[in-house]
Amino acid sequence: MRATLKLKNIGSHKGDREYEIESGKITIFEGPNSAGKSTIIKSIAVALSHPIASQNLVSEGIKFGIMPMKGKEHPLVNIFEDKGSIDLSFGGEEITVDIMKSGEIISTKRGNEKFLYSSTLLKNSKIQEALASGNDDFAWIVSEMSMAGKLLEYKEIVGSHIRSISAARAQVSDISSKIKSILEEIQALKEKKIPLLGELEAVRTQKENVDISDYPEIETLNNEKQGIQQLIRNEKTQIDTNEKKKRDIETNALKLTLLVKDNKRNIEENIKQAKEIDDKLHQLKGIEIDKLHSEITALQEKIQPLKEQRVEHSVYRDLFSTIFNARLNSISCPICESKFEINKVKIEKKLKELDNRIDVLIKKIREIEIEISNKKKDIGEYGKISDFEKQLTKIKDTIKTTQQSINKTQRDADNLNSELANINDNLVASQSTLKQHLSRVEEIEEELKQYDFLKDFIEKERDLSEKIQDLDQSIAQRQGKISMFDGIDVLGIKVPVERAKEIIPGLLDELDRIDVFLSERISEQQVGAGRKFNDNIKLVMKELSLDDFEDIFIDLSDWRLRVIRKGGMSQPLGALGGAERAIIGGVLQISCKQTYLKGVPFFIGDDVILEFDSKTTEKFQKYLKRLAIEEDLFVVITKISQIDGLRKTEI
Amino acid sequence: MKKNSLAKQIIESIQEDIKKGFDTNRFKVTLASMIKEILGESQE
Repeated sequence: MRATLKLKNIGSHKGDREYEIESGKITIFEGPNSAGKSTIIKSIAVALSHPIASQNLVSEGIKFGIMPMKGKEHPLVNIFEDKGSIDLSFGGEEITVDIMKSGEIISTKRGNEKFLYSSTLLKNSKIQEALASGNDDFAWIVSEMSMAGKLLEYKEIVGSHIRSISAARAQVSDISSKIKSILEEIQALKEKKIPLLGELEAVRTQKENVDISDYPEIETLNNEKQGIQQLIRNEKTQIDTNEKKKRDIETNALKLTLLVKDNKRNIEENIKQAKEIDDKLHQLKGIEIDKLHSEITALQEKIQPLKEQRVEHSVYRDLFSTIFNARLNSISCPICESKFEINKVKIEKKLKELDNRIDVLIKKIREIEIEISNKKKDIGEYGKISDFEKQLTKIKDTIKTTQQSINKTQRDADNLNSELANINDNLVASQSTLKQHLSRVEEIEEELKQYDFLKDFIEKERDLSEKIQDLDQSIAQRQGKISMFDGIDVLGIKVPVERAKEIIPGLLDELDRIDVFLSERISEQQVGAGRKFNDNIKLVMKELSLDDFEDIFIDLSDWRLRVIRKGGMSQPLGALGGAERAIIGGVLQISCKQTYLKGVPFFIGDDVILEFDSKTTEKFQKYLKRLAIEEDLFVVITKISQIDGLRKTEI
Repeated sequence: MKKNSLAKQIIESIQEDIKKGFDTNRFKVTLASMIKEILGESQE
């Protein structure tokens, strides 16, 4: 039989590739990393196992690189393309698988997900990993390879319903206890209400025996009281209004008083100023201007000789000073040539005398100059008489205007004071009226006191009614709480509490029966599958003639893998070497295929099968070759080697 | 509630699945709808 594998945009190669595989032979694809050899066995695995639903097998598919991790792109589609496809045809079978980069897979034929456990001998398969970790619990393989796996899924579903309904039962119990406690509270409140109802009835009976129409004066007094209380309110309003007015007038009157005071002060200043100007005018008008001019002329004539005298003295002084400072004992006259002795004592005396005379002259000149200046100033002042007269008139006008303003302000202030007096009178009258009203209200209240016995009935009735109302409200609140527990949610359905209490135990009993049934079937399936698996292990071991092991089997009492060495010694998995574990993995893998997936004509593997010692490798190859021939099987193995490209070898 | 009917029906459906093939989703839906039917009847 011939199988054709066509790949389009799968793996690291873009475009189309085609491989042919013969059954009855071992086909080895050999090459370096990234040559595409693993892509071939992964493509065969996808074509024969899709769709994969079991969670364990999904993990297996992700590890093998034939399923995408959550949210990631499909690892088999070429990175430059959005879609790839695999066509596998053999013995009249045609399988086409389209793989989207997003992870979606569309296949023309439903495969068998168990192919991943039973027909793949890969280093990273779950069987190899379980052996490598030394975990000898192999219950999972008999469960997953038999019906027990599916039955276990059913059991889990039944278990989840049992858990939900058990939670609802616990909730029912909790709600019932809460309702019981609330009902007890309601009962206690109702009991508390009974004596109050009795008291209320008694008060009402007493009240009915009193006829209120027998006391018409109560209404008259109450009416009068209400009328006076209205008058009191009016009077208080009036007082408040007048008090406010009073405060406003007082403020305004104060402002006017201050204004009058300011104006009076201004007038005083103006009068003082006017008097000064008037005095000045009188003084100026008394001046004889021609006389002043004559006096100035006389003074100027008087000052002239004094100035000349001063110049003369200064000349002499300079001359004597020069001689004195010249350090000469005699001097000759330039005209008569007579010689004169120089007497320095006399010269010094003469200098002092001249200095005194000069000082006297300067003083006299200064005095006359001041006198002349004063007289000139008087003449200047005289010219300003009309200005002073205008200034005086203006000040007098200001005084007159200010006085008029004072008079007006004073009149306004008088008016305000008069108004204030009226308001004060009104206030006094209002206070007196208010006092009378208040006094009358007190009198009425005193008179009404004698009818208080009637009020007692009314108040007591109201008090009892309120207490009873409070209790009714508390009872209603609690009843409201109970009505909130109108049902519990069981699997999305609201079931009345009482009904749920009745129905849930029966429902749980039934689910338990299903659970027991499933447990029994699972156990049967596991035992049956385990036996079949053990039989095939025995057969494969016999065919392989393994020298080191006497027996390998899954213990049906605890589902652990037992390995018995030659000589009958049981060997824990953890104590085995890596090569030994790889051999056991190969045995289990082939046994698994022979037990559970007899109908699928493919067996794939990576080079784990070639890593045994040469003798064992030869045994495995020989056995696989025989199986390939006898069962018309396609056996495809990959092998890493440092050659160029990909090479296919058939054994 | 029809006493024992749920367990009986479900066990029969499992036995059928053992013969003809399993469908986990179908089983889940069948079981849930049967339980809901019982609970729903209780409201009437």
